[in-house]
Amino acid sequence: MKKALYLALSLLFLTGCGGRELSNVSLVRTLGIDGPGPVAVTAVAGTEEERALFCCEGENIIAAQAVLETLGTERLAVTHVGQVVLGETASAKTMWEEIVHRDSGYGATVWLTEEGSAYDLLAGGDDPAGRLKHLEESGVAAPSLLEAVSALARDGRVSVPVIGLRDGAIQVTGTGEIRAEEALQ
Amino acid sequence: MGIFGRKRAEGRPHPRRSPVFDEPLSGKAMKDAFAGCVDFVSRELRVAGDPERVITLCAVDGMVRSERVNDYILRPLAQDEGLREASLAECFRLLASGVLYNLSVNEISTTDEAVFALMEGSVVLWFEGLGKALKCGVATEEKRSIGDPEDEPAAKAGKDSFVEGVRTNTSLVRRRVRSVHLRIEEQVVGRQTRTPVDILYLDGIARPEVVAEVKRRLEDMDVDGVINAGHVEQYLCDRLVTPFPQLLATQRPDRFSANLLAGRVGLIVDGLPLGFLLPGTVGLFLAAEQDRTDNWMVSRFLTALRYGAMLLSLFLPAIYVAAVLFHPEMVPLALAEAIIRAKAEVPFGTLFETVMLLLAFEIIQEAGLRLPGNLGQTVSILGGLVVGSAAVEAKIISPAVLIVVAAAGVAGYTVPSQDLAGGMRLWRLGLTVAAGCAGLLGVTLGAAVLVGHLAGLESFGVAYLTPFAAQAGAQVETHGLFRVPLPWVKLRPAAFGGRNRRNQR
Repeated sequence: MKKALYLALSLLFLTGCGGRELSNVSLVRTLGIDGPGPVAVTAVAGTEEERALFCCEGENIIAAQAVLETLGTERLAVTHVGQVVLGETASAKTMWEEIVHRDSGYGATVWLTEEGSAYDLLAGGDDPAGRLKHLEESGVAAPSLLEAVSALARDGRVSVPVIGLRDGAIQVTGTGEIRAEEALQ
Repeated sequence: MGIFGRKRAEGRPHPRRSPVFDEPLSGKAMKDAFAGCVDFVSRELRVAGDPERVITLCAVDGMVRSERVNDYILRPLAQDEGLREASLAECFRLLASGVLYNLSVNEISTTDEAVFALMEGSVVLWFEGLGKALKCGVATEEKRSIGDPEDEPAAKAGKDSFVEGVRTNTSLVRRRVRSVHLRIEEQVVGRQTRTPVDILYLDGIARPEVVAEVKRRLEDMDVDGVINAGHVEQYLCDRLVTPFPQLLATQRPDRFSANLLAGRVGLIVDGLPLGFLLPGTVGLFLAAEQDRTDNWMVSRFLTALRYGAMLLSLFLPAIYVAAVLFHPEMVPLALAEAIIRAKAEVPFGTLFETVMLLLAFEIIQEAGLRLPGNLGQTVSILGGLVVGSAAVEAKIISPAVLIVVAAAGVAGYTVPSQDLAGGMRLWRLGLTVAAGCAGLLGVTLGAAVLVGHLAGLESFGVAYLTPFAAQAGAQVETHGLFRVPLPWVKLRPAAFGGRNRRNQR
């Protein structure tokens, strides 16, 4: 009994990151990733009524997201990301980094921009998070992060829906492909 | 001075005086023993008016029934023809052998015997010239009538409940189990109270070692008095440092009898409207009398539900705290948004909020218990509904926490034994704090310590977690989580039965 108590007490020091309150938190709904070079991360956060767009750059995705979490008056939480939009120039490597970086939310769907950066698309579109969710629900076959990465590892490529802006709204314009060459380097 | 008061000095030995009154038996010795007791009555009777043949009648007023003394003792003494001419020694022989109309007449020879017989409600007849005495049992039976088992209601079951008199209680059991193998042994416990404690068991079915151990522990009990259930539970249990009960206290004679048939040992204490059953195991505390009366499928469902509710009650606040503080990703998006929205204007942290609310619920419950009937209900309505909803509206606590704590509280009430529920309430608080310190890891560690603690408990040589834990290789055919129809349960529980386990064809 005493041993168990000591064990429990000593293990308390191994609990890692401390508890953080779920108040003053803004959930990031959609994440845009541009790169390579300096990697830019765009976060669409907040509720449908109160949307907020944050963007920051970093040497890689980990650095960029670390900066992202300090932006805004509320803490941005990337625990419930629904969609990941990859910019035209973003590589499979960035996606790979994204999934390695995450400890949850592998279910987020992956999209590719038609042209230009993910930031432009997300900033230009009207309610991008809601629109992408609507597209998902209306049957567009967007792979999840996990599916995409496992397809990359298995087949060397994965097909992803391509989206672009049409009259200020996000529309699916075709299907694109991400190749694995860069990821494997 | 320490936290727990002054440092304790090593106790001196506390020898029991035996005999308590060492004078030889006499009328004066009895009077001396009862000096200062206004209820002690003593009266000199002369057989046929002869001053040579004096019998002193002693009794404790209020303990004896005066009509019986008049009819069974005084009347024959005054009217019996045979006594008129007999010598004092002959009178003694005649009275002892049938002239008195009493059920029990015994000869006694020591002051101790006389004093304790008087205390029990006997009349003592002291024959001065012979130096001998007779005791006649004429105790009054004034007591509460047998009522409903209000704390353990059950439909389709007996409506009688144990009362305060030990002999009435044993008769309630005897009327259900009309077996000569039902043994009822008595020990007197308590230096001052001298309370009769009856041990009931079925010879040949209960394990003899358990019976012997119960007797040994009762003999070792050297206390001033046995007044409350705690006196029995705390002196007879195996381990004191645990919030979990190890003896089941029940009001229901039918439940008591059924457990005697299963091989348990029962205790009935004079003055307590309860029967105690041992060995206590987790399954016993989670079983309700209703389980034996309902359809077996229904009761199987309800038993499973009860176990689920018990786990919910233990872990729900802890898991909520862990999820919100440490693992927000395990909360579904819609729920996370709802929690964030509700939490936005609440000034307190989640752990603080949850622990405060758990304590507030305990306070409301305690207040409701301490007040008489209707007032108690008012407190729970005022405390739970009015203050609770006002606090949510004022954004002092978030509704999610209120729901979690209230759900855990209500789930806890499904546990039939309030003793077990009390232990779980303590653990619920501990697990919640552990969750606030270390998230799910804390909950898991707390649960591991809890299981370790429960698995380490033993009641009279039987594992507390029976029927989930050790069965020592014996065939398990008992109701645990899942019940089977009674005709399929061919064996008594292995844990507390002896070799004789078959209970039906």
